[in-house]
Amino acid sequence: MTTGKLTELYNFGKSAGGMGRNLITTFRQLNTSTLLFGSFPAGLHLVDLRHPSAVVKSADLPKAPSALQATPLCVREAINAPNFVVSGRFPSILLYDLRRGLNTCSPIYSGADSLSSMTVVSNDRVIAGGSYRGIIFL
Amino acid sequence: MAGRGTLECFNTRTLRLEVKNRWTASSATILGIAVRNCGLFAAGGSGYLRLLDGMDHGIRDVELDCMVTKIEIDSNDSGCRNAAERVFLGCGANGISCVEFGNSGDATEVEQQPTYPESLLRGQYSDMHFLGRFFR
Repeated sequence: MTTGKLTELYNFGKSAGGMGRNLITTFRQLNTSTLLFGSFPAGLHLVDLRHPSAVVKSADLPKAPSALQATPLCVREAINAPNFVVSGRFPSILLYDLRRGLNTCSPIYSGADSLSSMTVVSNDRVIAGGSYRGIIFL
Repeated sequence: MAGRGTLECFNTRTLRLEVKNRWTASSATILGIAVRNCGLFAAGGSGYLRLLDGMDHGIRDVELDCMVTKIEIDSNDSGCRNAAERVFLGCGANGISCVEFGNSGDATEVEQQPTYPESLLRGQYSDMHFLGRFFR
């Protein structure tokens, strides 16, 4: 095993002209060859680790017209399925099928203000945690 | 209007929100969750790591006094399925912490004093000392 070797997988600075407008907010290795990462303000990007010099696919997360951002904060892969779920600063969980790319997703509405963390419990259940914008009675 | 912590369970097959727990005990955002120990670990800006039995009932709280942003479970070397002995926590700019869990049986074993084989002389002395209180 080689340790201490740094391999640059992707650099926003090169593609965006070094403007620094993107910020990586989460990443997850989905399988041995696929790395998925999310970026501010609303980006989702797939990297093939066998050819790590370029992003294979890139897409914006769907967001309401009035929303300023839909930043992804957490990505989790499903158990024994080519699916993954994305949550973040938007009120839904987005379910993607890796075979259909990043442009098609199934949203599950929650109403939360932001869902920043998830864990996959079983084949078809995901638990998410975050914050709910509600009324607090004091 | 103010934000407060929420835990939600989604069914990815039916695309429905099944359970929602607004976790009213905490007004802080939940920033990290992990499933293990037949329950759910949840932590966040409240400064607590909470082990929940299911979705609603907190059964164990660990005060951390820092904001936890990530939770990672140990690799489970003990071989026990669905059991966590160590929970690693990313605490924002404060660094990484580790919380070790164990059952009550382990705790009593640790608290017990180690026993050594005693000499007969020591035993006799103890008996004499003990009985001497009654036969003065």
